[in-house]
Amino acid sequence: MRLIALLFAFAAAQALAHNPSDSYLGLVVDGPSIEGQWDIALRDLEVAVGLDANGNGEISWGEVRASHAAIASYALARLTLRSGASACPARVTGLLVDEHDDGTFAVLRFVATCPDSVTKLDVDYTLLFDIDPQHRGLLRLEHAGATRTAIFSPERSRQSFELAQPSRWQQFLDYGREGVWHIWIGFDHILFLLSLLLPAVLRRTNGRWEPVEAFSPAFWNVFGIVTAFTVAHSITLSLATLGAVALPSRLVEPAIALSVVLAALNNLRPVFYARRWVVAFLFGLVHGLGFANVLKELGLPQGALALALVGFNLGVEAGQLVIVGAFLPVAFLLRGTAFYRQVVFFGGSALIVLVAGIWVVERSLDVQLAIFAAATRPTVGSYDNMRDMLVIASAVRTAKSSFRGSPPAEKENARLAFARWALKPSRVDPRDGGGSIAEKHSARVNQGPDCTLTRGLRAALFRRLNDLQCRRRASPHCSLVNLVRSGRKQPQPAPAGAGGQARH
Amino acid sequence: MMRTVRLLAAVAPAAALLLAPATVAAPYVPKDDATVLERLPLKPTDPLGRELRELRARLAAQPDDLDAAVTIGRHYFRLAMSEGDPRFIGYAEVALRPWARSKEPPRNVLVLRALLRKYRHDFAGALDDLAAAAASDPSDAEVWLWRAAILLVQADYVGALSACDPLRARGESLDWIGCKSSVEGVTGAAERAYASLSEGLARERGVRAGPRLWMLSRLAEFSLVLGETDRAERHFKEALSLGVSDQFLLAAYADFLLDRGRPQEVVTLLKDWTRSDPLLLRLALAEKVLGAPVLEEHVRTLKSRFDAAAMRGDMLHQQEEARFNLYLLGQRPRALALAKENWTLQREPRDARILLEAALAANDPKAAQPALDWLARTGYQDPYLRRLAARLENSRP
Repeated sequence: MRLIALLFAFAAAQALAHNPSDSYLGLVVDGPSIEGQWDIALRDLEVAVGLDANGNGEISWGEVRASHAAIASYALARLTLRSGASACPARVTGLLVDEHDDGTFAVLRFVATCPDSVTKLDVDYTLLFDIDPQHRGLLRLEHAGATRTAIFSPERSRQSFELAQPSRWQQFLDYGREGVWHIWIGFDHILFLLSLLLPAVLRRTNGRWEPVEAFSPAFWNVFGIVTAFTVAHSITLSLATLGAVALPSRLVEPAIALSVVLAALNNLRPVFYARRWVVAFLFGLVHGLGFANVLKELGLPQGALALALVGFNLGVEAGQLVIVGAFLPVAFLLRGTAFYRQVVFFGGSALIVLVAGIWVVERSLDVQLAIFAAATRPTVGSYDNMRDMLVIASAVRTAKSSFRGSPPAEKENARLAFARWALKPSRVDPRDGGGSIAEKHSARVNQGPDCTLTRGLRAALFRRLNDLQCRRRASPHCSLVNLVRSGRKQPQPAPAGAGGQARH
Repeated sequence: MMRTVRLLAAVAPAAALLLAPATVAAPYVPKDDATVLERLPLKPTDPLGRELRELRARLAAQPDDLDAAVTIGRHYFRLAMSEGDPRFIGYAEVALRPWARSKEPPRNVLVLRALLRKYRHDFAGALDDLAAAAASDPSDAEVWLWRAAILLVQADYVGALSACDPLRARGESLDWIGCKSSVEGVTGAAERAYASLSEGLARERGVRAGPRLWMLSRLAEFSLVLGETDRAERHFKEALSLGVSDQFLLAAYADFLLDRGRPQEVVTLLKDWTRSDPLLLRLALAEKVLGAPVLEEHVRTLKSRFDAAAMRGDMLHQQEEARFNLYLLGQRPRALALAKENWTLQREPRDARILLEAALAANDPKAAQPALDWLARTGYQDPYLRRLAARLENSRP
């Protein structure tokens, strides 16, 4: 019977009530810097470092915190990152905890800095192998939007990874797309252009507006205005991006709004008629500074500054041309009607003055007028409020494009999943002293806001997208993607200044 | 063969829909220092904990200290069994590291190394170690019992019976009856197995809950083989009423209920067992029949766990994974490949069953040949397996 008891116990053990020991190592390589998050089971750390200081068989947060230095030095001594021949020393930036399927894990965040941009990463992983040969290190390595995974075991404790450099062409396209996107969602730029274009199919004679006879003067009129605007904003965009001029967005944004008011007022009470291209040029300089702020938000690729600049600028032009291309033929056809002159031209200009006037107030006082906000939804908010929307909007956009071709219900699900993630209460806006962006904007988000986003947030979103895609369809790296939890880079009130890098 | 499975394991993630863990949490900073994050299986003040610490210190000073190494290894192996945590197996392996590849290690190292190897499904290595241990001291009953247990899994019934024999030297003990009836139960003599085991159990007084549960589970199995479903259910229920939670018993009873079209009872039985892969599988199978909304999430969780195990190189649950692929993912070829591979490692009745089912589903009767041969050779009486075999024989071109 003693032996039967053994058999019984052995059978129970084989049923694996617990998972084996794994650690989850996430590395995000960006130029010469490597951001790391390493999840190590507290039970493993107890054996390796000794956490249970009071010996009561329980590990409390206080005990983990007290062992912060010991955990950090123990772990980092067992992980060597090298870029080519040179070492990339790591520095711990924070200690958190996380619940995994099988117990609580310490979450060690660190930053390793290599001398140069990393092209080949050598990882030497020896954590716990001396204590438990069945331990495995599950690596998720991200670089330039691509994710790969690997497993470290005692037999394969050293592995190297060639990091593909992002294709220039792809980068160019990416920034171009952001440019198009920005002009399309940037109501202020569109309204400014429209204000200048509305009179293009008309002619001012004796203080009265008459329709032009032929298409070609109207076309050349528009051509001149658009070219002047383009040249002007290209100049300031380049200068600002290269650091030659710098104006804070709290000055630039009200100025842009003011330019829209003046341009529309010029239609109602013409001051400049024949030389509207001069207006376009002067104010275009201001708009260019606004574009530059957006480009800064996107983050500029190291060593491909010009490429990004040109890409973004061409994107803006392309977006502009589409708007002009849609406007001009219609306006030309309608130019002789009273509807065009009374409703579109005068009514439209007046409305633009009103809307842009509110922007001027909002942007210079950095407030959002409640009634107006409700009526216009997020795209027309003040610049700072728009920034709050970054994540959410792009989440929705990314989700939509990634699920192109999927059934509508699935797209909708993806959109909602993203919005829900973006709205997680953990996304705390530090400026609000802890208030959640989520609460402020949840209602708007569901109506489909549009914005651009910062690079850090975009990276976070791509990770999130990965997770979402993994849930829904086959993708080779998904298993480890799921093993190595995402969640990095989310603003968390972490000690030692970790986290929070998602907002600038 | 091993290579094919490795390959499959590598390709599998690409071929399947995937999932995040059921709960996607974000790292956080606990609000309060007093927040308890983890409970340790062993308190450092525990006498065993203290002893282990001292032994580890001894071993650190002198890694080839045989006594310390074997004692540590034994302790950790026992902990692995009682806690069900594979970490302890790793700790035990570290203690035995100086002898890991040794051809002729000391006897007590041999037995422990055999157990560790069996745990890792290295059956051949385990049998070699046990044979060497038995050769140096044939009177150690434990060695024979382990040997019988391994041979039984490998379907070497002649070998298993002869490994049971030395246990008889200690009289008509339950050990011997349990060993012998385990062999008889799968070799067409389930009636005899049932009679002797139930008689033995009735005769012996003071059988503790653990062994009693083991024997009642066997009695239920033998009854099923004999087609006595009511009697089987009585034994299952009696075993469940002992108050010992045993995953094998729960899995066996869940299978029983699933086979009888009683999925609702499976959900009631297993709803709190989602951490165990084999039990979560049964739960999901029941939920599929019931059309429960939570099914999708459970399938995702199982998928991620099987993929994780495959990526680690663990092959401990192929039988379950085959079932998962067959019934929950509808991946017939993969299910069959897994069931075939599983059969090369383990040949118990449930391994035969999944091979027969997978072959039938994939319309590949030839693939089931090893299980059909096994049925013919053993005379295993289970009516369900017999029916499966008949269908396969008929579908043969």
